[in-house]
Amino acid sequence: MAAEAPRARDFAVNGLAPHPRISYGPSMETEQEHRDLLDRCIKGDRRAWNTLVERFTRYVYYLIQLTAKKYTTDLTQEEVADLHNDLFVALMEDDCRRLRAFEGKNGCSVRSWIRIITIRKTLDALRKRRNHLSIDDTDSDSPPIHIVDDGPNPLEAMMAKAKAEQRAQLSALTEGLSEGDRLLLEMIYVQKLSATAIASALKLKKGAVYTRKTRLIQRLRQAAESRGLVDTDDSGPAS
Amino acid sequence: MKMNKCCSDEETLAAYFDGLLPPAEEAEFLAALRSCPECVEMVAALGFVIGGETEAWKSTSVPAAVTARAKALWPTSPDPVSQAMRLAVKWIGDALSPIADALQPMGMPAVAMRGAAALAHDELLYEVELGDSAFTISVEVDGPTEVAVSVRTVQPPPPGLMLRLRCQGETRAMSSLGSTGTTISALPVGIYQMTVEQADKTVGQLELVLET
Repeated sequence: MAAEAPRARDFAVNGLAPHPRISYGPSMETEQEHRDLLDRCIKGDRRAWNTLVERFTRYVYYLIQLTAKKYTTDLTQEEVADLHNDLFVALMEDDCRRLRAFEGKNGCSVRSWIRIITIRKTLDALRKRRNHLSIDDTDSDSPPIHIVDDGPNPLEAMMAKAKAEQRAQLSALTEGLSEGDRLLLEMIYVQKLSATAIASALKLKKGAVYTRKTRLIQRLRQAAESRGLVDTDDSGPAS
Repeated sequence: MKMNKCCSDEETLAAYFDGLLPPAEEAEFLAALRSCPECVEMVAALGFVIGGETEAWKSTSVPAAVTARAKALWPTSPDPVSQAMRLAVKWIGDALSPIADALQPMGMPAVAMRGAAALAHDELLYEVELGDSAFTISVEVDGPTEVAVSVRTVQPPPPGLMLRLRCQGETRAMSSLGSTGTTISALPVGIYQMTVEQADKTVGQLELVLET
């Protein structure tokens, strides 16, 4: 019986549950088999290559189809087959350079590694067809919602009220935030990404992105008020 | 999309999405994302797809030709002829008399050995008759300096058939030849005497010169 996979560390920020997703942390039995296959391929064992292909052919094929579906792109069977082939070419070209480079850092499993390579290659192929791929909210049951409100940007509002010498202090407020929160601010107000895109990048449910944004702005506001950067009776936008 | 150094490490990306990055490393990863819009876009795109993943891949149907095409990527020699030269298997098959003569003094039955090699993909296939039994022998390259030999009986074999491979007089492998035959893998290259035995008596033997 395969050993139970180690539980992946939850990505829970501010008590918010991460978006459920399939994790391929190493199940030791199959992971060891997969790594043995890689080793044997590197040593030139053609049978190991055949086994590796058999082991991952369904998964790779599925991921290519899934990636195209998520971006509402129709691929012909021939195109899927070509991408499937490209993935395995990528694994074995240059004397199995990629296989040789695999280290399993941080417990990265072979399956997860192949997942990243496959999706990236498929995304590259889709971009060549469409020039641009955007993640919007159209896959959601709910109508599109923009993460950036139509109202004034609360940070800009605070910045506008702050005197020049206080701006450095306001900037310092974000220094105390976690990297995840700082990245969230960046994605919302600088890169202006959709909530779905932010949720995808931060492994959160879309609703959690809104909640986290609200808490973050409240925290920044309170910190700014406590430092006298903004008026405490300011009723400016808080979300 | 242009990939920057900060996010080009596939293992780090995989560990991130599996929640396996240590906190310090994850903070470093996220900090790198802040300075690289292209990487944020790429990570979001990966997460967008991964978030939609289900167990459905286990029942995904893949055309056999697609899998076969990927398998066939493994490098082979440029053409079948040179491959046949590279993997040379010789046998003293038609030289029935010398073997039979050699065996006769030992009280063995007469040996009939005929056969011809056929090249199928990167295997060499032989059809051989040893004693009263017919065999199919396939030889494959099993590694840079190793060969795998599979022996199957064409018809259900008589009970108790054993296969023995000797090299330089020493037994290197011995295996029962059941109804499904046997495969001996990872044989170092060399000259082997393959013997089929029944009840400690030699039914027949041939010489295999295995090279990669």
